[in-house]
Amino acid sequence: MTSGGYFATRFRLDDSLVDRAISRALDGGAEFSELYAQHLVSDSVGFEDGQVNRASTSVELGVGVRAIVGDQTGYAFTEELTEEALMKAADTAASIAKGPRTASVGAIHTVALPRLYAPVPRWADVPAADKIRFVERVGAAIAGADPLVVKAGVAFGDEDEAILVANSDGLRVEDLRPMTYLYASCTARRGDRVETNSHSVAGRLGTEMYGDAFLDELAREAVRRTLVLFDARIPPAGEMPVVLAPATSGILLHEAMGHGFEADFNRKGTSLFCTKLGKKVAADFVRIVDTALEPGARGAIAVDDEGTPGQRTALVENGVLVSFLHDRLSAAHYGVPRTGNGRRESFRSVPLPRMRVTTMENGPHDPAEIIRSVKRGLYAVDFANGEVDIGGGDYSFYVKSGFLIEDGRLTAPVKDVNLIGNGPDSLSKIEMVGNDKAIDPGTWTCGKDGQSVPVGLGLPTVKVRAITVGGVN
Amino acid sequence: MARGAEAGRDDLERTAAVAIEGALRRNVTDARAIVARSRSVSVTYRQGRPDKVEESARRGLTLHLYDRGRYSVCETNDLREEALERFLDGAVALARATTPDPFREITDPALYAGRLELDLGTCDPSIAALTATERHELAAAGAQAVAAEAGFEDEEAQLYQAHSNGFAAGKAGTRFGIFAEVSLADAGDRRPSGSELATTRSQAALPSAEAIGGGAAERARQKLGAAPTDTAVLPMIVENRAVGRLLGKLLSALGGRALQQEQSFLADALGSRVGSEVLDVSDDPFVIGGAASRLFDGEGIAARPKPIFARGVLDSHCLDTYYAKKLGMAPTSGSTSNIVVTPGAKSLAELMRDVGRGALVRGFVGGNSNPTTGDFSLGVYGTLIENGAPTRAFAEMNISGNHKELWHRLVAAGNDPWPYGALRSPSLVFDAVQLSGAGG
Repeated sequence: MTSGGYFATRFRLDDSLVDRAISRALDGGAEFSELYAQHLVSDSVGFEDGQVNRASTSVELGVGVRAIVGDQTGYAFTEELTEEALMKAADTAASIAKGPRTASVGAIHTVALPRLYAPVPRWADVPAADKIRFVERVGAAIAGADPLVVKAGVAFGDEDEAILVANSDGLRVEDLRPMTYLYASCTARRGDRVETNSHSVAGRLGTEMYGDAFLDELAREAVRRTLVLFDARIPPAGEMPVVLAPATSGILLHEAMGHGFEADFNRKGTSLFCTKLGKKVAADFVRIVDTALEPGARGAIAVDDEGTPGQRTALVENGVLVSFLHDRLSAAHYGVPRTGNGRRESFRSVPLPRMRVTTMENGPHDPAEIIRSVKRGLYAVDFANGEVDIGGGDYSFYVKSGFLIEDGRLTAPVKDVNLIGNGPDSLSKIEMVGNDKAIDPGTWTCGKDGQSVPVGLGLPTVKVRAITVGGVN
Repeated sequence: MARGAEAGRDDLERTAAVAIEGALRRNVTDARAIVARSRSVSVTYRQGRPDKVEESARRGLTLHLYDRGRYSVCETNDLREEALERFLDGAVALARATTPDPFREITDPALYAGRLELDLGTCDPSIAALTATERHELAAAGAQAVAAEAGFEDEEAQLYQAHSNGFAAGKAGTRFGIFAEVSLADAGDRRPSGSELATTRSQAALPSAEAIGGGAAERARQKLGAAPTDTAVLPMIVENRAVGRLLGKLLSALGGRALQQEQSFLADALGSRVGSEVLDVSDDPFVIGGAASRLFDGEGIAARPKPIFARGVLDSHCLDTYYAKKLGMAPTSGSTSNIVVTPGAKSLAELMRDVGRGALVRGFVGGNSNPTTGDFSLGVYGTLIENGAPTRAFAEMNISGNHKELWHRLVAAGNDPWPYGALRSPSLVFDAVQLSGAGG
């Protein structure tokens, strides 16, 4: 399958060499071995003070070899694609097992993959001048948008990533994954106050993403998000009902629930969701999904980094927790099919169960009715970052801007406040779910065990009965 | 320095020379090359058995090109000769696609001068003798102590840096790390976890695996029964190892880019008071065995200790060559080394006795700061202090305020600086902070 493939053609990593490395990694008695090759070329261009003042490229190439015996893992990688280096990595990985050879490499086969991204041309073939035009247009639009604007910053990035997964089951699969993002920041001054905010959009797309109207809207949104902060204040502190606006608020799912559903934490018994499979965790109208099949989305993957094809995984159906997110190790532990969540930052890392695009499906409520139902609370619109403590279940996310809700109406704008709650508790306190689901196109990156992977998130309007708002009284 | 480090240095020097010569041959004005290599092994044990063994060998070239004000920075780990030539073509073309910027120049060579030749204790040659069996024993010891997850990791790294205008130097370092994590069953399905981690430059400086395992178990126990407490304004002690999340946001306001791009709440604060006299913080690159000790920075600027906050007064920024020029100031270094917070005389127990009633923050969960206004809102967990002693655990709470006000409320520093990282801070006491939790 790899003859004539990306890595065989460019780096002489042909079928025979791949087979020898995989076979060698079984020598110590491992039950399974795998080779993962990655070639990643990333570019970025930065704009500041009216000009393109930096450009960068990064090239990463390497191969990781993994051997598994039971739930024990041996892993090594090499950045040299020579036979000697590959065999040394295979020997190191194999050393996790301490017995005679028991397994052999299965019949070579591949799998069909969904088509989720296909940019033409590849980013490597797009001239730097085109990328520079994108950032210059956005930068000029921000600078000229309002007399209060004092600084405009823009960063453009793109990636061409190629991966190969080959394992001792005989599987051989390659995937070419594009990625691009555009990040726009705006700083404005009103009187003696200065505020800054940003807006970004990302996807597994090509230049077709960057039409003029799209670029102008991105600039307008960065400016709007900044200027709104001048009239905003820090909200009061304490527990109150919180209504989450659609799209970006998906960070609630990601932090409060998604990480707790990752099966490695459950396999090790460290997640507080580990005893809740098959149990009611939320109201009937709550449905949570993690999917790879969102075409062009930042978290979309046609195949995971262990060779399992991209798929949609229902996590919560009608309020019942029905599945965790699995990689190869955890699926074997639970005796269930893999869900395609085995992802890794690069060839330097072992795969772990990770989210892809995590969303809540539409519910029965009208968004306007949801806001009307709150006497005194917070409407959270724009988010910066979040974090979770898996075992305790406490999660938090930082609200960059929003509004107070008073007597069922949005009133004073608010900003810069952290919300903190407990995952299972907040899940059980979801009282209303709107019918306006949207996926956020932002540059979300998820960190776990020192590995970063691109993800997506989304949500309809959702009301949680009580979350602690970190304001000031 | 380890023998392996010396032997490997020739390759790094050669790659740096090829990159610099190749860049100059393509007629750029200046070039700065950094070639690095590292090797590490990590062994993790879970419930008494090896769970994961990872071995890594990394290398890479980072090349900064300056071409009459135009600039690119490119990285690659594909160091094959033919790949390097293609890489150089791309890097030069990329630089030439940017706009000429009069502030974009390589480091002023005057700043290379005065580099000391000290032994910073960053290299432990004993790493070369570590065997697989010893690594497993070290990892397993922590796991045995607590019957959970524990591990041992060691790394050796070398770097060589060369600039076209006369800078050339190398450095090498070793790092040893030991960790343990314990997870306990608690009421209502909560499974609080505690972890303990130590990273050192020499193997001998590592605490014992038993101490790490016991520490992790103790930190998990400290979370048992945690619940939010009432919203209130209280004195707060931030434990030594947790200070980074708070102090980091204060330090990031001193970066050249933040200042020049008007994204800093400390613009125009140089020479003025931004905190109480207890806020005494310096950048010390010469800490023996320090995690971030160095003789020169990434721009080749000779390292020297400098005060950042001297008894509450802002003494210096963190400026690289580019942003210093844009601001019309002298470069200081665009990156910090070891950040040392001057300790006080009292232990954590004594600080708690002095506070009487308050919150001991042991860690943060998310949150952020507004870089231009200084407003912050951070998730916290820890232990309530009542009658001068730690009592019940709290979690799911926030602290909020403004950095421009908070640091004036810093009333004491402990005698317990955290030795296992680039930030060496003792526990810090603030006299009043807004905590939000249960109730309105």
